Amino acid sequence: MGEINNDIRALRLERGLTQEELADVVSVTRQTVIAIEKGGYVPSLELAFRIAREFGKSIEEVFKYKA
Amino acid sequence: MNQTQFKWVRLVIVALVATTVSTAVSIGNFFLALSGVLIGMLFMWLVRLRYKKVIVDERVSIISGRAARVSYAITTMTLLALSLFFTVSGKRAGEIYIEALGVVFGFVVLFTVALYTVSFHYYNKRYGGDK
Repeated sequence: MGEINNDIRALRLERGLTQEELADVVSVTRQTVIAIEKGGYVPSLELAFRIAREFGKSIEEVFKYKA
Repeated sequence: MNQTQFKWVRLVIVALVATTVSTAVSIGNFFLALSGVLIGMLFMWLVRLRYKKVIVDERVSIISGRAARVSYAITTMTLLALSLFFTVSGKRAGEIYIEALGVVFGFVVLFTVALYTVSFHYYNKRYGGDK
């Protein structure tokens, strides 16, 4: 199995969003945003799309897959 | 209402319902216990209406599913072991009530496994499995 990393924390800070604000926008709990940022939870494809769209980027620009 | 306030309000409601139900059970008042539970459910519903944020998301659902599966496995295995123990020991000792208890536990295990199988097939079909 590969590993999936993401740049959500950097993108969020770049836009001055808090974890709670991002969670509200993509309709998840703050704990889920924390878990995704830490790499402890890999989001579903739908949630990954919502997050990527929130930052105006494609999924592959936000999430990195290392085989 | 923020998340901390929501958690506290929920905790207070649960504590009040638990107190009411335990008091009702100790005095043997079934109506009071039922009323306590129903009023608690009503308050929880009202509080959830006021709390606009997401409470259950996909991560919570996955965690719930895994916790439920572990609980199911532990419960059925424990009840199965108890069922075998009570049935065999009851039969050996000639204690019909102990043996009956073992049989009841056995049926509970069968019912739980059947329920799991039916619900698994239902969700498997619903989420695109083989039809």
